[in-house]
This record gives sequence, structure tokens and C-alpha cells, in this order.
Amino acid sequence: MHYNRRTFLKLSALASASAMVPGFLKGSGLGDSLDFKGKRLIVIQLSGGNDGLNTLIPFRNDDYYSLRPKLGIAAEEVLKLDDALGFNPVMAGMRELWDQGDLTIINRVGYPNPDRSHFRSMDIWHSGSNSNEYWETGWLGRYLDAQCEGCVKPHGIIETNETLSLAVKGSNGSGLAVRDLQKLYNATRDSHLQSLAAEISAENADLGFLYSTLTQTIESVGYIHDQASKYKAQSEFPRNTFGKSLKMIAEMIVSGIETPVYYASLGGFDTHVYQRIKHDNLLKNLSNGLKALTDELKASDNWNNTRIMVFSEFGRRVEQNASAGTDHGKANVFFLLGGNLKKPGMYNSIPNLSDLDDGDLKFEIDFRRIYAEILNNWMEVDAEKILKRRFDPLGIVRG
Amino acid sequence: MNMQPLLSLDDARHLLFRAGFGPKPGQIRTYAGLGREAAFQGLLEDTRKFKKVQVSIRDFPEPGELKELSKEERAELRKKAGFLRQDLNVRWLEEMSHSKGQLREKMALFWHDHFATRIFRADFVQQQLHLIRTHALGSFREMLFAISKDAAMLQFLNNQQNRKAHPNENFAREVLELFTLGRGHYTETDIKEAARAFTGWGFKFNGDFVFRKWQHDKGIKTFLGKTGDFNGDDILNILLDHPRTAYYLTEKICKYLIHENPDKAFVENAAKVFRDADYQVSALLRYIFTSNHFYQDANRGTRIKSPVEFIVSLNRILGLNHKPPEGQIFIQNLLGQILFRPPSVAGWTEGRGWIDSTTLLARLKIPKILILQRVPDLELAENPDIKLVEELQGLGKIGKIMKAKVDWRSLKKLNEEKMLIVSALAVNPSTNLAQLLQTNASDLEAKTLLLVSSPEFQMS
Repeated sequence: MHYNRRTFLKLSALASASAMVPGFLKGSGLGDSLDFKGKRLIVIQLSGGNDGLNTLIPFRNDDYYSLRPKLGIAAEEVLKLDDALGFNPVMAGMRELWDQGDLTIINRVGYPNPDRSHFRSMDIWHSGSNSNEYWETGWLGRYLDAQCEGCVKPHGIIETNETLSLAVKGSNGSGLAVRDLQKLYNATRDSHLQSLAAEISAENADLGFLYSTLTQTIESVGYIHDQASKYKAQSEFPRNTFGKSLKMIAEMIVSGIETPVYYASLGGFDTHVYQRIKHDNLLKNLSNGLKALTDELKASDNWNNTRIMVFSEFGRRVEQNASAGTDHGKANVFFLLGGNLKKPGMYNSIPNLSDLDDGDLKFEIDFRRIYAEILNNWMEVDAEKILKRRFDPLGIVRG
Repeated sequence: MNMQPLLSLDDARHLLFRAGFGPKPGQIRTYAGLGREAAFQGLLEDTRKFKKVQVSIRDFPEPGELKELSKEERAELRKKAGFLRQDLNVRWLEEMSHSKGQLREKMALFWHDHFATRIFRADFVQQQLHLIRTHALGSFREMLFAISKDAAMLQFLNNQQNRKAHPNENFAREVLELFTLGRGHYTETDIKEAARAFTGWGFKFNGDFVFRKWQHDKGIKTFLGKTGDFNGDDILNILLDHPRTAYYLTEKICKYLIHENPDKAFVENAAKVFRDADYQVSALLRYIFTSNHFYQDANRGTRIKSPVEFIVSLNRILGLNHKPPEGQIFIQNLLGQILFRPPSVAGWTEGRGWIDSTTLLARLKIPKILILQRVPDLELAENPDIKLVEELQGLGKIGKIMKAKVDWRSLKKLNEEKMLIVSALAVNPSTNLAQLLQTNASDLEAKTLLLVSSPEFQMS
């Protein structure tokens, strides 16, 4: 990238944060180049392997209770969704969304030859690869790559984490990690940074990567900040990191920022030992957070244009272990939320606990089919190009 | 007699950034002019004596007493453990920053990531740290056995719960996937069988290893094609016999010390050296640091410093004295790596993975905040791992916590010797930076700040 030569600033300007912003660094017109179609995707990752069977409970199934003498949740406590499945009792918020037709539940989502390692399985979900392939880009990163050849827009994906996930890393660039927008904006207005960003060459590729990251950051953050209005979310979000990240997403969407993809995560689901209390707390956090987020999107008339997907890298074993916990499993439940869903409700049948794959749930739906569905029918891009192979969409997204 | 090339200034700089955390003022001249073998020997000699990193851990309750504690008392205990871990954190940072044994600390940091563990008890953390620092340059065979019987590791990977009747596979899985073979070189069955062999391996309340016979599955196992009534020791021996192990470890070490994408042929040769030396780490390091490959241009200044490397290299070049030392923990948090708090057993990410918009901005701004005492415009991400001791809580602003004194005298001398830039940066300044340095050549403070607040400073 070439810039006009500028007068280099003496360091005395370092002390002041209110230097002039050169024209080419102002965030102008960046929203247009993304070809924003008005539709948004929010991805919520549950890290560690969420125990789907204690999230969506088969309360009429004897096998569930006999294999989980300590962990099984009593039928009378379950928030029943139909005559076979019900939510964990802490998930009142999500139960409401179910009742309002805002939720599609897909059972037994997984992939062939599953991996029980967190890192491997999460990489597979992030990259969309087969389980014996090792890709270095993520499905959303490649979506970003496909938008525009050679131009990089970090704010095409906003991840509310401290570091970026593989999912949002592409070959040409990656998403933008945002925790606090105002602070981030202030941080980029530094004249020292802006003089550095005028660099046009670097000694090696990795140093060049640092320089281009700096430039893109300044541009993207400027754009988002300029667009974001003073909107403050009205709903009550959980008072923790996860709640804050969902709140920020709500505020950005309602402000009209033309970012199509948001990525948030909630960790702690690797419940090998003494699962019950830990898991219930996490689910409560998830449920309350999602409820507040959907309330905001509904109130601002953004619900019909938004899809939220909630996934985990694998489920857990059906039988509990000796430490009142569960070990890594395979297939898991998957949630899709949004306004005007094509197929609200239970997409497929409940897990059969007497026909297991070596103690684990057998998968029925390949998660790449869900990605294909979202890419083709929601984001309106070429899924086969982004996923590197063809998967049959599910027909659940278009409203 | 083998006429090995003598190290140029540039060679010495490269060596000091890789076999340690970067040069202290004056250090490049000490190594320039030496042969490669002599330079390495010097680095190794400097590691001979090392201080144990320890904090004062008293009054830890006995098993019986622990049960009697109220909820509040347990919370107090957790808080106390958090402070102790932080103490260990800054004390180890101090060793990394100022001890002569740079090679030991650099490798200990590698092993800390390789055997990533995350637990609550500070005494276990202290014990494990001492273990990896002691074995850092020695026999990997000995280290593997020691770490597999280490209380912190066994607790973190739930092996205390691994019993004959209900095996817990966590520990076995990570020993294979992360510590020895790497993914793709074993089956799920191998993991199950290894887990059976490790049943009964646990620890006593005081952190000593204990083998609980009655929990051990004595049956026949088949592991990596071999059959027998294996116990944990047998599994580790089989893993060390496996040809893949030396390659896996060597490749990882080459990524750490040479280049993110190491040359395959070099790795294969180095792995053979490692294996032939029965996993003696210093033998592998000698091979690496005296090789032509290591000194190739393409391998210089190409690594992006991890957060800890960033902090330590900053401490070394500026002779920083952090008061309070906890400021360094805030920096670790901002940049995404806190000692003793890896995100998972797989350890931390590498290279470009350290860098995104937020972390890059933070790296470029932190030196100014530390030295000029500016109020930072950075967000301090909330993190339950960071506990402020009472005294610091009262101070309020983060700016008061991130404070350090620079050794300007040494820097002045270095600048007069025209060695400031080459000592601070592992890579030559780009056009823009070079011009900025030129413009500010007469102002030592400005010049120094420019150097350590640059993208170039992130490279090693």
C-alpha cells in the first residue's frame, strides 16, 4: 500500500493525544466497500465441550437416568419444550424464546471421525475442515477474504474477545478484536502511531504484517467509532465478561454499524469434575445473555435481520465419570435463533441413548451443512468456495 | 583445528535474542569475536548456578483443617493463593530479566508452555516451576518422568481421579497429544489403554507423588502396538522409544528458537542428534546454536516476541526497575499471556497469533506509560486472575501501578558507543523509523522511546 510522503512528527508531539488526523486515515466510506446486505450473523461459541444432554434433557429416557445417577436432572425440574425434551431448569430465558418461535434446535450435530481433543475439534469447527485436515484459516475469515480481492476490512468481523479465534482469521486479514470501543478509539488517535503507520516498507514479512495491522486497525476503528451513535442498551445483561460482550454487540447493531459478523465466546464448559453447579451457572449466563440480546434486537427492529448460532466443539459422554462429571464426547445440540425463522422448533428427533457410538451420541447432521446454509442463504455468498467443498444446506435459515 | 567463523556484531545480537531474551547494554561486545562453540559454551556456563524461585508459603491448612473451613475462609484462601502465584510470577520475571543464566530461563519458558498447567495451589505451582527450571537444559527423559509425577500436573489433568473402575483419560490424552507424540500418531484406543496404565498415579496433600495400588488397573494393555501389564512408567518408556517423540519435540524447539516454519531437513538432523544424546536438551541446543542454518539471514529478526519475551527484553535493554512489580502482571494480561495461567493445557499461541489490533496497540504504548507515567488510554481487560493486594487497590489509577525506573546511565554510554539501536532491535529499522531516529538523534530519551515503542521492537 502506498501513502503520500508526510512530514515526520517530532517526538514532542507524543505527549499530546490530539494531533491532526491525516485525511487518508479517517474512516470514510469503508462501510460501502463491504457490500453490506443488511443481514447479520452472531456466533456464540461455548468453549470446552458443552454437555448437551444436561442442556436439553431427554427427561422421559430411562437410559439418561441410569447412566447419570448423580448428574441426571429430575424430570419435574426440567423446563419441558415438548413431550420428550426440555431445558435445564436455569434456562428460563431461552425457554421464552422457544415459546415465541425464535429458536430452531438441531440435535446430534457433529462431523465424521470426530476428534475428542478441544483444540483439534475447535479448529475443525473454526476452519470447517475434515477431521484429518489442518487448515490455517477460519470459515468466517475466508468469508471476509471472499468479499473483496486484495482489500482488507478488519471490522467486517468483530470479535468480543482479547484475542482473535481461528474462525475469523483469513488469508488476507482477520477480524477486529474489540472489548471497549471508546478506549480503543482513543488509543488509535495517537500521533506517534499515525506517523509509524506511514511506513511503506519493512525488513521482513512478519514486520510488514505488524505495520499493515497497525494501519488497518486505525482505519477500521475510526470507521466504527464514527458510525456508533450514543445508543446504550436498555436491557439487563449479565454482569460479567460474557454479558458485556453481548451488550456491546447489541449496541453496535442498533447503532447501525455495517458489520455483518459478530463473534463471542463463553468458556468453562470442560466439566470433567463436579459438573452440576459449574454447568448450571454457565447455562444460566448463556440463557440470560441471549434473552437480553434478543430483547434489544427486537425492540430496535433488527430481529428479523439477525441470526444467532450457538455451538460447542463437541458434546460429552452419555455416562457420567467417577468424579460426578463427564468426559469428552461427540455429537451435540446446536441452537439457531432469529426472527422469522424458516423452521422454528425441533429440527430433528431426540438422541437415541440405546444406540450409541462407543458411549457417545451418534451424529446425524454435519455442522458444515449449517455453515453452508448460513453462507448461501443468509450471507448470500458462495458457500462451496468458502468451505472448499459442497455441503447440502438444511433449509432452516431463510425467513 | 576447525576454523569456525567468529561472531560478528550482528551474529552476537541474533544469538542473544534467541538463546536469551535480548542483550543487556554492553553484552553484544562480549560475544562478538568469539567462535560459535565458545559463545554457546559461555551461555551454558552462565546457567550453572541458579536461584530457586520461591515465595513464603506458610500456614497452608492440613487436609483435616481444610474441611473445617467456612465459605469465607475458603474464599480468603483462594485470594491468598492468587497473590502468591502473582509473587511467583514477578519473581520469575526478575530471574528471566536479570539472571546470567539466560539460556536456562529461555528454555524454562519453553517448557512452561509445553507442559502448560493451570491450578490454584501456589505451593504446587512453585514446585513445578522449580522442576522445569532444574531440568530445562538437562535430560528430557528425566523431565518427562518428573513432570508426569508432579502434583500440579496430575491435579490439573485430573489423574487423581483416574481409577481402575472409572478411568479418567485427560492426563493420558495430553501426554500423547501434547507432550510427546503430537496429534495423529496414536489412536483413541491407545489413549484409553494409557489411561488404564496411569491409574493410581496421584499426589499427597503435601505435593509428594504417591502410587495408590488399589486404584491401579493391573490388567494387560495394548499400547502403540505393544502388549503387557503396563504401568505409567512403562508408558513413558514406550513413548520415549518412539521415533516420533524426538522429531515432535525438536520441531517445536526449532520453531521457538529459529523460525516459525523450520526447515524440515534441519529438524530431522537435529532430532537425530537429540535422540542420540538420549534427549539431552543442551546437546540439541549446542547443535542448533553452532549451526550455519541458525545464522542464516532468513532466520534473523523473524520471530514475533511473546508477551513475556516483550516484557523481559524491555526490562533488559532499559535496565527497568518496576515498583510495584505487579505492573508487569497487568502488562501480561493486556498482551494475552500471564505466567502460570495458560488458557489450556495446549499452552499459548505463537507468532502472529499474539498480534491483533488490541495487542499491537498495547505493545506500542506500554513503554511510554511505564516511563513517562502517562495515564493510559488502553482498556484494562477484566480478568479474575489479577488480584490487587490491598495497598495497590487504594491507588486507583492503573498509571500508578505501571511504573518503572530506567537505567539512563547505561543507555547514555551505549548510545555514545553507537550500539543503542543494534542492542535494542533484532531487526534493522524501516525507512520511516530510521528517519524518526535520525530526526531525534540528539535527544536520548526520545530516541530510546522511539526504539522500544516500534513494530521493530516486537521482533526477535
